[in-house]
Amino acid sequence: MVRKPTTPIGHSLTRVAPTIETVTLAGLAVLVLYNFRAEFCRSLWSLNIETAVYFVIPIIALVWIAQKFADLPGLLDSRKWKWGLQTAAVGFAFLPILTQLVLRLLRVGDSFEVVAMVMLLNACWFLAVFSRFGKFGQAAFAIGLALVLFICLMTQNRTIYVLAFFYALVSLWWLLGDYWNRVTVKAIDGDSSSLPIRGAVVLTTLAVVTCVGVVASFSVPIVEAVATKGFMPSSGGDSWYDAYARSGIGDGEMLTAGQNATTSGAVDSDQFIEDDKPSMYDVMMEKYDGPARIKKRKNRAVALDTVAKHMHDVIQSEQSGKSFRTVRQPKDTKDLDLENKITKALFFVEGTVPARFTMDCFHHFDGWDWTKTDLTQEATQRIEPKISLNSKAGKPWLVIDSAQRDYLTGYRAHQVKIMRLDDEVIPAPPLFKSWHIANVDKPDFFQWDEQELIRIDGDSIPPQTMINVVSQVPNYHLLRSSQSSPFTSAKEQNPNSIYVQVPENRTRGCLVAMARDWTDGIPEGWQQVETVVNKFRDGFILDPTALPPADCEDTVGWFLDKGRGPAYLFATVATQTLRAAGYRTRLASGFIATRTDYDRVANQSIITSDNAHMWPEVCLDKGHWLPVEPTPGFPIPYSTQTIAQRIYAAIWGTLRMIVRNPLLSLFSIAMLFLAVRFSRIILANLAWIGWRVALAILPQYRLKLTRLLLDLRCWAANFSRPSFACPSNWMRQFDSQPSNKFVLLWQSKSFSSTFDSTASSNEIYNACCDVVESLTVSRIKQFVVKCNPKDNS
Amino acid sequence: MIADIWQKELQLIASVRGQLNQALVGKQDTIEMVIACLISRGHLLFDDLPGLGKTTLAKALSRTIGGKFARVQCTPDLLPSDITGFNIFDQKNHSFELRKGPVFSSLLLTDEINRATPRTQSALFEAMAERQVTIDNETIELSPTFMVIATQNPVESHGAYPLPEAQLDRFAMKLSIGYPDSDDEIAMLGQFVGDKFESREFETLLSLDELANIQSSVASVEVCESVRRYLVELGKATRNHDVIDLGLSPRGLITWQRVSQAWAFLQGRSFVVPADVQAVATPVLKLRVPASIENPEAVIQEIIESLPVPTEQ
Repeated sequence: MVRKPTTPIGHSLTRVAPTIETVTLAGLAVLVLYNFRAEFCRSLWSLNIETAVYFVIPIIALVWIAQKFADLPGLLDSRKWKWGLQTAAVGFAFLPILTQLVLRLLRVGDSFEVVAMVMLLNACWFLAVFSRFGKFGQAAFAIGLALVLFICLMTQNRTIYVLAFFYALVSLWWLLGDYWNRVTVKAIDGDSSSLPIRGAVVLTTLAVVTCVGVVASFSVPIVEAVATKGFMPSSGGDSWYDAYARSGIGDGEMLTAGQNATTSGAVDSDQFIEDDKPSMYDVMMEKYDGPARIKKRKNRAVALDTVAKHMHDVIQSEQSGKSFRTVRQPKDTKDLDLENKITKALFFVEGTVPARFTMDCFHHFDGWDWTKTDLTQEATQRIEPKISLNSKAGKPWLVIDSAQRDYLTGYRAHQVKIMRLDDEVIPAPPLFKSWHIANVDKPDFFQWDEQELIRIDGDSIPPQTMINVVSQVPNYHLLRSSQSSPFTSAKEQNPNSIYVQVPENRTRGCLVAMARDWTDGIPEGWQQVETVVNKFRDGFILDPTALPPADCEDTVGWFLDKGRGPAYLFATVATQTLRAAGYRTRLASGFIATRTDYDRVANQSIITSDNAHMWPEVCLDKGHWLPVEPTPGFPIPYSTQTIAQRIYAAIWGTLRMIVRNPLLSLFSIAMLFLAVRFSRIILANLAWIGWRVALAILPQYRLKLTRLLLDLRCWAANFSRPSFACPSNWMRQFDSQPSNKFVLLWQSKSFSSTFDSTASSNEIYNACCDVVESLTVSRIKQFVVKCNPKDNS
Repeated sequence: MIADIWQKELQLIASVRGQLNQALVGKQDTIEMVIACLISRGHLLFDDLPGLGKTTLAKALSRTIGGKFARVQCTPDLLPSDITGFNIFDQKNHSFELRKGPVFSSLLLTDEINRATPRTQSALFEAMAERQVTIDNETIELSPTFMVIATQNPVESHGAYPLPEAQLDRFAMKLSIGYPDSDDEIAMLGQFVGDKFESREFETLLSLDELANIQSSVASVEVCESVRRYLVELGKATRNHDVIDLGLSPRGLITWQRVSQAWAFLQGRSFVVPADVQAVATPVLKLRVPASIENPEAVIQEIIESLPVPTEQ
């Protein structure tokens, strides 16, 4: 048997092997993405293996093709090979999706955007390896360049910058080479390599960029982080709740709203049942640790038993919920993972967040302790509202018949499931309006207390109790604009009211002066309140570790001196300042649920002792207590918005995002501009992809789809075919032989009953491919320019 | 699809086209329309200034297709019987003998038709529409390839009788030859140096039987429903147009379809496409646009642009 002589593999490879520049560029892109992923990957092993596999597969495929098919004539220009390899490139690009299915089972998956980037890189690498075929090299370069640029905007990794720098240099070299190959007149002696321009340009650029880089590295401070949170679909929010998001909860507002909670049960219920239920005292103890003991408050001559008694009184007072000391023990905060959070859950919340849940209120402050006092003497003491029973959808709802106000323009509902919370107060957002507990239809079972909270008749709400609560929502825009009515006398007229009392100490004068200074020239009412609150949010620093010393007798003064402190000090000092400004203010304590508390698995927010929070509440019209948030970093209270407000907020939010992320915004705007500028070209190219797919799966529509694609290309070239013009006449203008062939087939298919499209299947396929290849957008544009030189000049 | 079966016919037409192009230099488009009109069994009206080659073209065509050629120079005193013929009493045989008029020919050139009186013009009605004439209650069939090529001078209106709508409706096309380009005129003058051109003889390239076969083939060209619908919509558009008093009649639509078939045939196709309909729209619809309209082409273009062209069935 005569063995067929085979071409040596080296020779075969030489024929199909890519150029060194193209492979270098793609390789640099691989390294860039590898370094980018290595910053935050869950497993370096999986990353290495994945990268290696993706790297090797196209090379193996190339070697195999070189061995088997290198001898084929016209291999590199064969349309079949081109289409086959393009299909393979698309398939290879989608390989990471399959890989992710496996990796996520092993809990080492990647976020959406990373997978998308790996897909792009795969396409780039595959095309680079097969860059001898068609225009794969240019495509690989374009994809790789976009990828590297994008990664540079997403990272601060210096290694990536260095790699990107080399990428830029090789790109320049590659581009010059590509350009040079196209130039027909290369040099006088016909030898382009004799011209030193290519090297000179690259070396000059290298020198310039190096100089700029060196100067920039000494003069421009390196910003440690360029925020990109919220830009990508899976990187919104501030925490790590989507298992595979790079940053954030990863599922946007709809899931954050928690409209479809699947469960409210504790994940680790055994542990929960075994634990003691914490009261609000325990919660505060866990959040802020215990109240500081007085080492020396009056003088050293105090008997020990007196000191001990005082300490005992403090503990007793706090445990009964009657007081809160603003001087606390220092506490080391520790991060808790999700599992621990659930076992520590005090209650679960289903509904929109952020939301505050009021548990207690304090009225009197002596510079040291917040306490509750007897409010019976308070001139503005409200009459206890009636609790009435209503029925909604056959369920009993208990409603507080409170006074209605114009600025309360909306309602919001939450479902609360009590878990470990040991308290008789129903956790509900401020401006509590109504509630529903299954099978509880006796208003007498609940009491409206003087803090305007609803308590059950008993020691505490039983665990696993589901409570639907509805609260009213103020419209702060209306409050701001209500200069005349109803807040003509927003300030408390009675100077003896408990709600405007400020301790008589050395800070009092300072507070009064500060309040006067801040509110001077601002209309009385909500605008003054907001001004004071915003001064705290903007001018002071939230620092949970900055606690007043145990012997501090004036925590307000200490806070003002230091300019920083924990959230409860912000609330305390803001309350005192608002009181000094003349507004009835009280201190509310409870919990705040933010987006970071959302558990996307259970579709609900988990409230633990970490969510304990304090905030001031202001009463402007002797009707309702409105929450305010002076602590920076905490979300402002929920408000309804008019359409104009929403538009304004959207514009303002967009501008703020642009200012905060200048690089990314610039990139986005540039991309948007390019997308708009070249929208027709982009659409035509997208249509080409769709046409390519349809060509394979819808053979009966090949001619029609091709005609539609050509019409779209004419449109993209600003040379739209009018509806009255025949496609055949329109295409023949372009003086293209392929178009004549296509037109004849298209006419036959469209207007002849005897045309047999199945018999001419191959002919149709080739004619369609030829005409699409021939009548490109640029070709049509050239024709338009040729026909209308004046119009286009 | 492509009409390979009509290769022979198309070759014959190509030779006719070549000869006519020699007769009338630089007017390929007009000649193509004349051929389309011929093979679609239509009648042709030339509306142009004197001396542009109307008669030359008609004579060349008649020589090319063979058959009998007759010419009538229309004047106000021309009688209908001068066209159709009449019975004369033969005293020898004591019987009436038919003296056939020029209508008994294959190609009748009626020069300056608008100079004939309406009575005389109407003598052509039956011949053009039904290819027959009735003389003294006797109906006589004409040649199946009978074609009228009429000319009229649009400038001279004194002593002229504009063709009535009914007469116009029997024509398939109205063509204007127009002045040739300078280059073509130079070439034309070159042909007339010496007496070679004056004494030239046109070869008969197409027999009447071959012409009849071609006309049958043209009639069999397929017109799909979408194209027919397009034709009907265009016809409606002519009827609803402000400028056109009398839109396209059903007979006019049939004629337009037949001319479109002829145009498709000339392109080598066995089916009509909307482009064929549009290609022959101007000469067909010109007959319906009043002569008072300065730019009838613009009106016709407006009509075409008012409707979207059918694409796929």
